[in-house]
Amino acid sequence: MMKSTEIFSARESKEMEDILSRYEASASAILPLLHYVQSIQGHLSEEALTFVAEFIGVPHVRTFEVATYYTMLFTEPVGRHLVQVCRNLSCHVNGAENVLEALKKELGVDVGKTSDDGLFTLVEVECIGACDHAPAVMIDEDLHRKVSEDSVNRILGSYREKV
Amino acid sequence: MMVRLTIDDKQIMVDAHMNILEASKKLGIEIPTFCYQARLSELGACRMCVVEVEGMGKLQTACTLAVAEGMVVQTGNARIKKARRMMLEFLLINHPLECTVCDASGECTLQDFAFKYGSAETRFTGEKRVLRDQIISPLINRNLNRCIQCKRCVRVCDEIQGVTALGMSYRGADTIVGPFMDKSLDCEYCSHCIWSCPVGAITSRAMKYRARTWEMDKAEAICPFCSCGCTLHYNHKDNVVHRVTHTEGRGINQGSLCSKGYFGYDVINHPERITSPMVRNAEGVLRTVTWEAALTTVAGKMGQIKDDNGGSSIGGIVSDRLTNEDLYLFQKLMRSVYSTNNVDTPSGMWSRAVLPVLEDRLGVFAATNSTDELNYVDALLIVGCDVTVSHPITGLRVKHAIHRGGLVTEINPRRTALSRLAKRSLTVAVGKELALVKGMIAVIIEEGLYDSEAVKDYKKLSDLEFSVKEKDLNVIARNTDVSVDDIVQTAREFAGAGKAAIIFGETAALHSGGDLLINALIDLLMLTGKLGQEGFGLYPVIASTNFQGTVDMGIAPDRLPGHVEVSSATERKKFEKAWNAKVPKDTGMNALEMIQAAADGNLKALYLAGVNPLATFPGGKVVAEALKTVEFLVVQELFLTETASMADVVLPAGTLAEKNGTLTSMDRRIQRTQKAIDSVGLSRPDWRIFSDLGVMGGENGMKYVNAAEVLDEIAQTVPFYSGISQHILADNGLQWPFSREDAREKFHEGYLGTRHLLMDGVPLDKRIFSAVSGWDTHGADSQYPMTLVFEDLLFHSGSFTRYSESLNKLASEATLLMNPQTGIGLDVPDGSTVRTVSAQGEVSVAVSYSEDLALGVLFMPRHFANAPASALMVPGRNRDAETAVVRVKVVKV
Ligand code: SF4
Ligand code: SF4
Ligand code: SF4
Ligand code: FES
Ligand code: FES
Repeated sequence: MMKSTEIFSARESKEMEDILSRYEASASAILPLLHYVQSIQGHLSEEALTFVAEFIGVPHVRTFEVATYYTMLFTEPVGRHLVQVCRNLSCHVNGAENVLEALKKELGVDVGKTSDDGLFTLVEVECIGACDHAPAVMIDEDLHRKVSEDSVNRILGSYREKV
Repeated sequence: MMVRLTIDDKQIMVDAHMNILEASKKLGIEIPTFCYQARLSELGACRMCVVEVEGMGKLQTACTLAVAEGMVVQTGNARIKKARRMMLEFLLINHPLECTVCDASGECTLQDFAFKYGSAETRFTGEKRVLRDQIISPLINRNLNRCIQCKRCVRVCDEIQGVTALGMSYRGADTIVGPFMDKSLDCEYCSHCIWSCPVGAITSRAMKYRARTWEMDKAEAICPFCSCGCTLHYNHKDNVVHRVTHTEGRGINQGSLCSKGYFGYDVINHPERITSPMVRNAEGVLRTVTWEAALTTVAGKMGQIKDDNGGSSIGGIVSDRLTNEDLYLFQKLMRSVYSTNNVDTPSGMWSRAVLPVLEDRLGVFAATNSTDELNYVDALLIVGCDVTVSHPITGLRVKHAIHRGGLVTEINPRRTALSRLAKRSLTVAVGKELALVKGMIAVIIEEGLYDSEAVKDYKKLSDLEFSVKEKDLNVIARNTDVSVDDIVQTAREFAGAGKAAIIFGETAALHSGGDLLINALIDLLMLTGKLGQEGFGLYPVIASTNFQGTVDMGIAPDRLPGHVEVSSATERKKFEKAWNAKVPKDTGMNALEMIQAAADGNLKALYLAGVNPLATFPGGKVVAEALKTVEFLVVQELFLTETASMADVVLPAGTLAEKNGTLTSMDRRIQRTQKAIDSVGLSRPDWRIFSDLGVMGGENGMKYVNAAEVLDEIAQTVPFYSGISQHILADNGLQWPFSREDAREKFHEGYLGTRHLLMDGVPLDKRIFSAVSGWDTHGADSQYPMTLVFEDLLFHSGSFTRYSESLNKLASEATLLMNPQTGIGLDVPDGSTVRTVSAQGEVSVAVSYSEDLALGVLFMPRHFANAPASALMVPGRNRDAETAVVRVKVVKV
């Protein structure tokens, strides 16, 4: 078994111990730990999934199940910014489809893929609780309301500038 | 508690623990199910089993709903039928309907239910989901398009097999069943997932496109690969076995099998089977001859050697895979026709190491309890073996016990597949187990945890106390590299458990001081009173399929059938009368002595039936020398092994699939095995060959028409097999000793004979502690500082399975396992080739690092051609028992 200190800094190892200690049944820590590891490494590699499984003492396939179930967890590397387009009902009827097409065109990628410059990964998600501002798009932690085909360019631009 | 309810207008009283599905079954009402399987946890996912319950608005799933007093249930009205039809329609949206080429066709639940409950039309016209990769391992196919997501495979792998190799990944319509990271399967290949899948989504690659399910006939047989004694069904067509199946609830295995039982059948119709007798001609070449010619040669030559040199110059070694009938006739041929007691079997080395201790201490010569009792033990010690590997189905019992909260402690020089599941795994170097067991005994005496009622009339309790107190617990802990706390806890758990038992295996018994360890284990059982009841007892485990049969049938130089001594004139008389022939009175030679005598030129004829000493016997060069020197070598075999190719006469024998007979499992269960196909080529069943040779040797008492006649004779000459017949064994088999009357009258009501021995307790004259002295049964050797343990592999048993192409895909080469620290100490990197040298000889083999091993201990499988154990095992260095563990040094090349 890998030791946490072989892959993570002392502070990170400590944080993971803390997360684990918050749960009576260690298997319950699976989601928070995957989140934490993803926040450090950007995505959940095979090594990370193996590590977390062994860290909490569950079979390896369990972390894989959880990581592939949630759209917010990634088993493959993602770009610096994550573009999440809502595809649920309210957004759909308000033109999410067009927004998605515009994003695909602008970024030159399909859903689930990362733009060539490594800056953006485009994904579809279910309702993000912003139905009153549909169609909604989330980029990283920021919510973008009432997005239209025309505003796509401007929004992406603001992230490009940040680099 | 019982409750009364009404199902489809019929009233029934059932146990309150039942669900609607089980209650309906009692009434003979069939409710269709996909995700339900009796042995698995409830899921309620497929909704195929919906029923209507009065007072509950929505339809309910029968598989998850418990019965209740006064419930009124409908199982097949129009509303239900419509719901089921819709469920099926949903499933069929994505199902490829490739029944014409699907291996599950004919026994597919979806196919059956679509026919029975579905509609002939579909309203869905879109494209079907098509998912990628179909192959997930060399032996298991996955076809995701066929998967109905019932999760049975995932649950069985987790809940029954305890491996958890499969998961449900992704979600919604994209959900797929598969291994970690969608890689190739890395698992025990137990076949449970194949068996569990209600459709053709997980299938055996070995059987792909070989035969349609409905074209094959089935014959019930006993698995030839280990002494668990599992029941299986050979499915055959055109005299070829195409697959193995098993039936829920049937046999010792209750419908489970392991990789060997499930995939190993391809040895039967292997293209390299010997199909005709062969005799070495004047030019020294093995040539095909008729049976007549071959048998005449054997009978003539044996007769001549007997006349010239006496029976004691003839020896025979027979495989422990053969049936009781084969074995019985083999020793009868040797004794009554060739006048020799030189009779043995490879597992004789085990029997001689273990049985004398069991007889001396307990008056028994078999495992005391039934393997299925292990399901419910509260505490279990497993010493010196990996039972999940050597005896996978017995291993499942242990996993079941763990699942129920049983406290299992492993004491072994390496971690095993059980380690992750067991309460604790103590990795202890060979020889140090004794100290650990004595430490436990010390704790039990010190804390007064022993069974004072049980030990009251035992002698030498004070000696025992004295023998364990010689060393302080802290010292024991330091010497064994186990914490004091672990020793104390294991002792407390074992003594305090309602049901507690001990399993020990080859590493424990077959090293220089193994007898001391077994004695200490028996002391522990006596002290805690864990003998003579269900869930208690001692289980010596050795893989050899019918090793108990060899013990019972007199395959030993000093024992006649029924485990009676050759030296007893009364017993010899009994057999002389039954056989109408003389039985030689002198104890014969055991297998290793025969080999030595042959090498020395004193043994003139050697008859080897199904044994390959060149690959598996200790002695390396001596064995080769013996086979070369011996005047006349007869080898009866399935394959032209390295040994068979040295023979003067080769006689082609048959596998278990080609004969009727009985086998005795390690828990004394005599079971019937039935012929599936006709003998391959010109081969013949072993018993038949022995019988023919007996008759040609002038003994008409060796004439038998079929195996049942041989069994009749066994039933007359072996007291604890008395009254047995194929018919009586048909249902479940019988565990000896049994009551003749009960066996005859109640065999079909589940009468099984004696479930556990020592029911009246340990015999009075044996109530003595042995108070073993000493602390290390292996010790150190400066010339050969490392300890090499020969291990069984999950995918192979003996040299026989080397002929299974399927199993070879899983493992086919020996490597030398060692702890990385050991490797660094020796300066041999992972993957490098080293010379492994023992007092006997040496092999060159690649190193493979594993953290699971104790320091200074090496592991290697025993039967692969690239590193034959034979070259390293030291015959009779201490006792002839030293065959599972040898001292070696490792030399870098
Ligand atoms: S063969 Fe057995 S261990 Fe392997 S995945 Fe299937 S159920 Fe699990
Ligand atoms: S592979 Fe078979 S057993 Fe597993 S979920 Fe799919 S249909 Fe069920
Ligand atoms: S456990 Fe033993 S008897 Fe059972 S299937 Fe496996 S090898 Fe055969
Ligand atoms: S449907 Fe898009 S935010 Fe709710
Ligand atoms: S069988 Fe009851 S829900 Fe699947």
